[in-house]
Amino acid sequence: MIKDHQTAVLEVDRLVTEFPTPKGTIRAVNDVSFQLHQGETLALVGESGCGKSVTALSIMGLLAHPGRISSGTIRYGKDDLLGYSTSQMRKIRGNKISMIFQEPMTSLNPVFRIKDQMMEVILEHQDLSSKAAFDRAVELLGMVGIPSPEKRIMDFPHHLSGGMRQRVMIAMALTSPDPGILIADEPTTALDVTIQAQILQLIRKLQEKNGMSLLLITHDMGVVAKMADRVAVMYAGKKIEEADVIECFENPCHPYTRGLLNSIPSNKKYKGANRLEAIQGFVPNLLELGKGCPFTNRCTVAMDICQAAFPSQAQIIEGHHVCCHAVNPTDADKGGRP
Amino acid sequence: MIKYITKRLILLIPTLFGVVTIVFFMMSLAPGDPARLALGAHATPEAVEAMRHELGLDRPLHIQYLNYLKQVAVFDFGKSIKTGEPVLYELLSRFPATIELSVVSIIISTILGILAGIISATRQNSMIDFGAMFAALVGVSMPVFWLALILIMVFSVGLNLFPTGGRINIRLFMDPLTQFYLLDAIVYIFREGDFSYFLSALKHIILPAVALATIPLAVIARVTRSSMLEVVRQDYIRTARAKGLSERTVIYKHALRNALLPVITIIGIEFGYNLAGAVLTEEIFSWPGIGRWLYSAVTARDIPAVQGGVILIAVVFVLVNLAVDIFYAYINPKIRY
Ligand SMILES: Nc1ncnc2c1ncn2[C@@H]1O[C@H](COP(=O)(O)OP(=O)(O)O)[C@@H](O)[C@H]1O
Ligand SMILES: [Mg+2]
Repeated sequence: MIKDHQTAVLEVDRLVTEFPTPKGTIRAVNDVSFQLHQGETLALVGESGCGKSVTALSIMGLLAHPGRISSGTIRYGKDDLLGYSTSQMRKIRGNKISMIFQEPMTSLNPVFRIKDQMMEVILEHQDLSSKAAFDRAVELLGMVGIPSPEKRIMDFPHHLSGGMRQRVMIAMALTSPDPGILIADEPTTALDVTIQAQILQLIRKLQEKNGMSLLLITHDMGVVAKMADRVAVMYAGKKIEEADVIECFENPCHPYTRGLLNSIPSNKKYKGANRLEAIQGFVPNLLELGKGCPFTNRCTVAMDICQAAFPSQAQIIEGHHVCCHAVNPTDADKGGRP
Repeated sequence: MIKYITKRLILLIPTLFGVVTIVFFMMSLAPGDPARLALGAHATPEAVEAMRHELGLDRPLHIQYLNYLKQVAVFDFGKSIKTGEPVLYELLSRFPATIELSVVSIIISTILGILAGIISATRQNSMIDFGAMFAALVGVSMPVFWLALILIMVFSVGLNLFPTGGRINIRLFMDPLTQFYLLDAIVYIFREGDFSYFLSALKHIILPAVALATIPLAVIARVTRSSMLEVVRQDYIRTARAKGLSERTVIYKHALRNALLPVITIIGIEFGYNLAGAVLTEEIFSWPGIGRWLYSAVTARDIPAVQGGVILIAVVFVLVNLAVDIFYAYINPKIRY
C-alpha cells in the first residue's frame, strides 16, 4: 500500500477538551492540532497524564463524564465529527474509526464469549447473516495470529492471555472490510516485552495489508522509533513539537522532546544520549496552569518570557513544528538548538 | 455441573441434620408444657401425664431426640397436637399458597427493582435518581404490617378495588390441581373458557404480593444501582461503546449482565426471606400459607408442627440458595465447577 502523506483522513484542529471538577476545570487537551494522513502512522507521545488518551477519546466521542469538548473541530473526510449525531457517530465507531486500549485484561466483557463480542460488532456495521459474521470472525482471529481460531472463538476472555486478548481486541477493531483509522492507545504498555514486539509487528503487518491510518499513542520512544512515520509530542495538554520520525530523533528541538529521547536506555539515533536521564521535576497540576509554557518549571533553558506566554508554533523545516521560546526559527540551520 | 449439584445435594444432609438438631433442642428447652397447653388449663394431672406419655415427652431427652431423628429420616414429622393431622400433610397443603405469594412478589420486586436501579444509575444524581433512592429508603424502613394495613385501607376499603384477604372468591370452587391458584385458574381458562377464576385469584394476590415485595424491591433497586454504577466505569463498557453499539445494547446487554451478578444473590436471599418470613403479611391478608400456620403453631406450642415447619423452611432456603448458585454460575462464566 502506498502511503499518501498528503491526504489527511483526520484533522484535529485547535481541540480543547475540559473536565469541569469541583476544584476547577481541568483542561486535559489544550488547543491541540494535528493531521493524520492516509496510510501513515502518527505517534502521539508524552508522559502519563499529558492528555493522549483524552485526545483519542475526544475523537471517538467517548469522553467519560464530565469531560466535554469546549472548542475545536475534528474533521473526518468533509465532515466535522463534533457535529455528528449519536447515531452518525455510532456508524463511525468500530467501523471507520476503531480504537484499542491499554488494558487488554479488562477491555473485553468477561461474561460474553469471544464469538459474541466479535460477531456483535460485525453485525452492527455490516449486512451479513449470523453464519457469515461467524465465519468472518474466525477469519479475523486467524488473521491476528490466534491459533485454532475456530476453537478459541468459543472461549471466554478469561481463558486467554493478555497478548491473546489484545489480538482479539485488534481483530475486533478491524472487522470492517475497509478499516480507515485505528487508534491504538498504548496497545502494548500492559504486555510483556516479547509479546509487545509481536503485537507491534502484527499491527504493522495489518496496516501494510489494509492501508489503514494509525494513530499510535505511547510514552515509549522505542515504540515510536519502530512504528511511527511522524511524531507529535504532547506535554500537559499542549502539543509542543511535531516532526517526521527521523527528524524528531535527529533534531529534536523542544527541551522536553530531548528529555524524552534521553530517557531511552539504548538510543543510538540521538547522539547526545549516552546515559539514561530522567527529566527532572514533575508534571504540573493541570488545574494550576498559568498563561506560560507548562514545561517552564522543569526546563533547563527557561527564560522570563516562558512564564508569561505560551510560545507560538515555529517551523523548523517543512513538517517540523515546535512551540518553544528558546527555539529561534531562524536558527533552524544550526539545528534549532537554543 | 451435574457433579457440583450432586455434591451440593449431598452437603444438604449434614446441614439438615444440624437444622433438625437445633430445632429439636430449642423447642425442648422452651418453657411451657405442650401437653398441658394441648389439653387446656382444666385438664386433670392424670390426663396431662397420659398425654405426655403419648407424645413421648416422659422419656429422656436424648431418647426423644434419637426417636425424632429416626422419624424425620423417613419424612415423618409426627402429628400436629392441635389438629391431630400428620404435620407433613398440613405443611404440604399450605406450602403452595406461600410459594405462590412469594414467587409473585419476588417477580414484582425483581422487575421493578432492577428497572429502578438501572434508571437511577443511568441518570445518576438526577431528580429521578434521588426520587427512586428516597423511595427505596422509605421502602426498606417501612414496617410491612403498617404498609399492609395502609394498602387494605386505601385499595380494599377505600377504593374497593381488591379484596381484603383470602386467595380466591370463596364462591368460586376450583378442583385442586397444583394448588397454585393462578396456575389452576389458567387451566380453567383453557378448559372452560372462564376467566373469572383467574381474575379473582389475581385480585386476591396483588395486595399481599405488593406488601411483601416492598422491602425486596427497595433492596434490589439499591444493589442494582450501585452495581451498575460500578460496572459502567469498567473498560469493557468503553470497548462496547467504541464498537459503535447503541446505548441500549451497552447498558442492557454489556453492563446489565455483569451488574446482575451481585443482584442475583440478593434476589435469592430475599426470596428465601419471603418464603420464611411472610408471617405478618399472611396473617394480615388471611393468606392460608405456611407463615400463618406456623404463627398459630408457635402460639399453641404445637411442637411437632413447629419443628416440621421450621425444617421445611430450612430445606427450602437451602434449595433456593443452591438454585441461586447454579444460576450465578450460569451467567458468570468465570465460575465453573
Ligand atoms: N474522567 C476524568 N475526570 C477528570 N479529569 C480527567 C478525567 N480523565 C482524564 N482527566 C484528566 O486529563 C488528564 C489527561 O489524561 P489522559 O489523557 O488519560 O492522559 P494520558 O496522556 O496518560 O493518556 C489527566 O491528567 C487527568 O487530570
Ligand atoms: Mg492514557
